[in-house]
Amino acid sequence: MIPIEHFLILAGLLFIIGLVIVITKKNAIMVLIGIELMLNGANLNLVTFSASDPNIGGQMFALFVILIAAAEAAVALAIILNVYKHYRTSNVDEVNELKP
Amino acid sequence: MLALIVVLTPLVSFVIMTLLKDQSEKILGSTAVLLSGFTFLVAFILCLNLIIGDNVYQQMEWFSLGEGLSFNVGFLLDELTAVMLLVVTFVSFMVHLFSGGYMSGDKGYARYFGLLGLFTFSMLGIVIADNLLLLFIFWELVGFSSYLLIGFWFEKPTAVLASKKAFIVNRIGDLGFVVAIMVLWSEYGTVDFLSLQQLNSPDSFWMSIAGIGLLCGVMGKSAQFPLQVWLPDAMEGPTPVSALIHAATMVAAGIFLLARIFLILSPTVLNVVAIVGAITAFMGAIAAINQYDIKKVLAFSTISQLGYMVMGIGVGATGGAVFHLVTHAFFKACLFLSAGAVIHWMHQHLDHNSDAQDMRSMGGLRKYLPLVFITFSVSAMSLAGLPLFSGFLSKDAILTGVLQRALDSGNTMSFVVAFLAFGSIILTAFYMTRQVIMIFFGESRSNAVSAIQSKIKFPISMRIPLIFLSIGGTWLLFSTNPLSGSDSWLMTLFASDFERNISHNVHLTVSIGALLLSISGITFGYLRFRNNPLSGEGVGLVNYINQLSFNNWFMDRIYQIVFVNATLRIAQLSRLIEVQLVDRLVNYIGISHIVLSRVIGWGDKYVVDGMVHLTTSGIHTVGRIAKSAQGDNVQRYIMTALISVIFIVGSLACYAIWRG
Amino acid sequence: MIITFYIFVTIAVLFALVILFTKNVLYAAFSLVVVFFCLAGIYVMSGAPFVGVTQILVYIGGIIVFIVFGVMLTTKLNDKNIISESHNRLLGYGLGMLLFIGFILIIHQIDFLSPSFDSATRQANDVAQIGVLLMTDYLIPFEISGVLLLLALIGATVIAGRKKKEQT
Repeated sequence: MIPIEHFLILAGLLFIIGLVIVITKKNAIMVLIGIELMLNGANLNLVTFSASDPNIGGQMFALFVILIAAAEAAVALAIILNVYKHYRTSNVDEVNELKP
Repeated sequence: MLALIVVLTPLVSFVIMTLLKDQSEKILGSTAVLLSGFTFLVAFILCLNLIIGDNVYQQMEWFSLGEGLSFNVGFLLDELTAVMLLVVTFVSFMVHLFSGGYMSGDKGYARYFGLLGLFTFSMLGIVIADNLLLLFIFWELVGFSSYLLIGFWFEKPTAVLASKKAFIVNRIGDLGFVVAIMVLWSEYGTVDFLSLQQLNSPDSFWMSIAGIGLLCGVMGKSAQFPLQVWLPDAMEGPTPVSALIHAATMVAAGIFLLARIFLILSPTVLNVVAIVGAITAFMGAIAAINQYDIKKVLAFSTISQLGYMVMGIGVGATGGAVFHLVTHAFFKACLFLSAGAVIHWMHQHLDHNSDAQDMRSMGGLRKYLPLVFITFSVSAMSLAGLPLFSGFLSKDAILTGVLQRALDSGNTMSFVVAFLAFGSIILTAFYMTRQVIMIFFGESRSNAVSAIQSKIKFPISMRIPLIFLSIGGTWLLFSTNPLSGSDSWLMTLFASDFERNISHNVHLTVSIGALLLSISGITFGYLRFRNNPLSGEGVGLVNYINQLSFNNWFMDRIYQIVFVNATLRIAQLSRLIEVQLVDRLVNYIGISHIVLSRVIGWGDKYVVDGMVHLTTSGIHTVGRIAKSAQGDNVQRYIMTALISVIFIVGSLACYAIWRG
Repeated sequence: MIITFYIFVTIAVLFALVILFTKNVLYAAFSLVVVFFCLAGIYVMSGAPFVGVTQILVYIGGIIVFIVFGVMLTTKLNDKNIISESHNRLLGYGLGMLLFIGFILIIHQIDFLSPSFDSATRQANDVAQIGVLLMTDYLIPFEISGVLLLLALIGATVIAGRKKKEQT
């Protein structure tokens, strides 16, 4: 069978890639994508561990995660739209009123 | 105690005069005269005490310069002091009386009497001082009072110049005085008269130096050669002032000093003293011959007589010198006051364009001023040295000393001194005769047409002094024997050992010789001036002598050329140097300063400010770097958090691994 | 079986890297779709079919649409492609590498129990089991998540529909 470490490594990789996307990308939508990727990495982790669990707690958790992620993505997009309306740009560097 | 009263009363008078200066003339005048009279009275009592009793010698400590260097001041009241006190206070009193009438109407009335008081105070201070320093202080004060009084009418430019000249020439002499004081103090540690006498070392080198220095002081104060040029100009002051200061008292201060220090003068110094005195006597007499101002004649006469006194001290006849001082005070003061009366009369009867003092516009005043004529003539005869008059006695005393010294020492200088002394007798008689004739005899040359008929009466305050002073011109006050000076009580008190041992032959020779010379002088004068008082012209040698005499041996011109012009030239030269060199140097220094400051400014601006800027910009950068941890970027925060988490977890892991 | 798993893994990682390195936002969005698909496959292979299907439905069907709409609404309309630059690349990549190495090290330290499940029976009973659990053990989260969705709905509408405030 597939050793469980591989699942975990994949999950970790996805998480890390998501994190790097969040850190390095300038577009707000890209940041959102990165966040979704991170969530998915965590999901994969959960599901992997639930595979050896008679109470499929991990899957339940993963389900709820997906749910919450959806709600959060909705709200996030709404915010991004609002911000775009205000600042006329979706570049996170320019969405900034803090004086340098 | 009495001495203090005597000295301080005139000072009181001075203070009162300054305080009350707006009172009426009568009040001021009477106060001053009363105070002056009071001073005389107290002085008289004091002198009786002194002559009968002991000398007074009191001292008290004045200041000390540390260990063993204390300095005392005090009184020294001996016979010399007594006589001087009498003379000074009496003449001062007479002058106060006379001035009450003479100066009436002058707007400086109060100032005048105040200054007279100040002067009397200073003179009395000289007389009672017991050491050279205290004497010097009063010496200076006397000079200062003289300056103020000569320049009394300070609106007249000539008066101002004359007073300045008097003070400066006096000062030159005082330089020698100060040097003498310093020498004595440093060499012997004392300037006390008695202590100096007790040292008994008149021959030492430093003592001679000190003696010369003191002689310089005397030359300045008593108008000896070469510092005699101030006295003729000092006639710019009011006539009573001339009577008091420049005939009787201040100029006598020099003689007084010489008498005080006589015992410490070495023979060398005494020789110099005698020569100076003789030269002065001769020059003064020559200069008096051809003056046409009353007071100038009397001034030169004073110079000449002072020369006699100095010469007397120089040959060792201290008694004669002091005697002559006293008699000279009387008859010279009388002469001046009489001249003052004449001038007063001339003022009131001449138009204002003419000079009231010019003898050429006088003449025949015998008719209008009989009392003045009598007093003037008495004093003139005393000055000329006729018997029955006091001047004869005192001159006799000096001349015997001179001749005896010449015979004793036998060197040429003493004979020259004697020759000059005896020669001056003729000249003295000559010029006095001339003056008497010019003023009182002959036809009146003045333009005073209106008042010729009336005889103006002088106020009594002006007549009494003349009378009293002229009494002093006769032999009565001084000796029971009108023909011989050595019997006088003054001689008894003051004659030195030298004088007591003068041989009778010398006495006789001098008496007869002097008498002959005086009579011949009078005769010359009478013959020459009898008909033509104004004959001042002449040809050849006579003219030359006349010019010499009139211009006071051209001394003023010589001094002007040698000293004044040279000094001015040097001043101009230094000014030139100053402008060219020094000012240039200063300018260059200033410019170099500016250049230096520019350089420093540049350095300051770029270097120092640069460092400051560097520091600030460094801090700025550091701040910016530090600030950059908090960015404007949310992702930065995430990254920071991530790094922190890694750091923490990593350190925990390492810790765990290390722990095993 | 194992091969498919590794194919899924490769594609997922590949496309995740595409998301990371691309500048085009739309490319990133569609790469995300591919990653979701692969993940769904992996879920199914791990005995969680319901989760996999839910993933496809919700994520791909909902969120990707959201994302594409968002991209559309927040860009200025011009001919250029929607380019997105990136910054902090050095630091980000460095951190990523670091973390990855850390993860690998940690994972290899752990002693895992071997899984013991029967994938076939699991798959067959999966949906029923999930339904039962939702209504029994996980009832409260279920209800609350309903409320939450309502909130999210209303909130998103309000926020997005807010009129632009007048500039004073």
